[in-house]
Amino acid sequence: MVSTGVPSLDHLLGEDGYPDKSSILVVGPPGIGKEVLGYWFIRSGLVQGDYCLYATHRPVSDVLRDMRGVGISTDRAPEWISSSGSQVRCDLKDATSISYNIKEAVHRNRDGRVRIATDVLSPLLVLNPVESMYSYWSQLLSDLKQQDSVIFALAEDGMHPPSTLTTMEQLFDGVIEMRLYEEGLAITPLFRVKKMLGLPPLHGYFRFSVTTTGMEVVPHVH
Amino acid sequence: MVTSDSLLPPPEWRSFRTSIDLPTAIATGGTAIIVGILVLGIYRAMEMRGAFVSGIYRSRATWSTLLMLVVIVTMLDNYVPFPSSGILYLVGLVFVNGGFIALLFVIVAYADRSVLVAIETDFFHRDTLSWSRVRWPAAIVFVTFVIGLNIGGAVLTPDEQSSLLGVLINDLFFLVVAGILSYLTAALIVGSRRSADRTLRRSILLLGLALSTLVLSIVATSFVNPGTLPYVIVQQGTGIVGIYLIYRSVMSLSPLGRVQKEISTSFSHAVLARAHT
Repeated sequence: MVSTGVPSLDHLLGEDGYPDKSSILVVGPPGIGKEVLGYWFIRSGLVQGDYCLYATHRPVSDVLRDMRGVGISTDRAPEWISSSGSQVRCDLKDATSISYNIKEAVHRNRDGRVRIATDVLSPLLVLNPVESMYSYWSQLLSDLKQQDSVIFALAEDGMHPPSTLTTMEQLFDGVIEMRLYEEGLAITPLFRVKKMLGLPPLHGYFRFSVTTTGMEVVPHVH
Repeated sequence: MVTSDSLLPPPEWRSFRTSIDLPTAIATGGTAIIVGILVLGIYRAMEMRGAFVSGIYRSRATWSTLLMLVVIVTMLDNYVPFPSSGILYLVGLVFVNGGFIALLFVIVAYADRSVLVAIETDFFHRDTLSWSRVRWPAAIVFVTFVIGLNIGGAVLTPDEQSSLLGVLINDLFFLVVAGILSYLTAALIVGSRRSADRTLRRSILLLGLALSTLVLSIVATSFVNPGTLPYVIVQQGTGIVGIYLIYRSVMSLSPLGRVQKEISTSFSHAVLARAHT
């Protein structure tokens, strides 16, 4: 098992976190804090000595600033595939090169455990037909499973038709949904574990909060 | 047929016919609706602000809260009785004029931020209606007119204000304000269409539409006499629509889900049962 970097989420997922050799998809609207889960996942890997790769359509400086903003130390940095500030460039118009660079990095570090976090899924879905993206991600995730790696991908809710997201969710071993919920007049940020490899369905909602000292996940009692 | 009732004179109060002042009734009703929407909007905007992690979204929720707060203060200051002389008169003058100035500044500043956000989230970072070049000259003209007119209002006597020159300056002020707000509205609507972020696109578009109702209100009410029924209908109608659009703009910052109670309740029971054991 691979720690999520958030102890309360590890506990929720059966003490140890995400399953080995798995692919996790986090779905949620913009601004809710999906990236923070990715940051903690990468930070936890760096602390444990795993090889960590962050593939992003944003500049490295933006991601590092965000990480510091939620209290994550950037004294150790992952390897980057990004739009700027990294040796390997992330060109959204060239999906094949992104996939190739990810697989190549994983292959280079095949002796140890690899953690990959990426936010390129949604932009690629916007720029390419769903059918081609389905086979693209299907192939990429299948190739990554050959190694000891866990991939953590983000998808923007509201940017794609629901059917597209449902289609993509099928490809992943675990799906976490984060969103704001309306309860009477109140608005609460909650998340649901829609599915997770090796775990029975987890019914119910969990309240989460992001602070500068970490992320907290607790059951939401109605 | 003679009844006991017809023998008695009607009670005195029943012989008076109370006339309903329709414009006042509509104005009061409209104000109540607007304040209701604003109070709900402020509460929900603050809740959303607390839930967002991203700076852009938190900032938009904060600006919306501030805007709605200033609108409430500006609306309700008419209901605060200030004396017509003495130190409290001056306090009232500052309160009423300050509220109006603050409202104009917050509207323009929020709209300006929104246009810049739309440019930032545009894939090609296009300068919508050359806003980055226009904004500073527009800000200088706007600030000069707002401050100048308010100083004029405080210094000049009512007679001087109602002179031809006073009326002309007043009309020029509204022309400038309406012009800048119209330009901002256009920039918001065009910018929203260019933003790559669908959520922001919707939120900025709704803000642009809200601003357009304000411009419409300024233009339309300048052609009718204040206090008349058409004036009140236009003012309250555009007010309600505008405030509702601002409320929708806040709520569209994030798609809201509804907790499925059966799942949540069964889950709650399981959690509570586990806590008891």
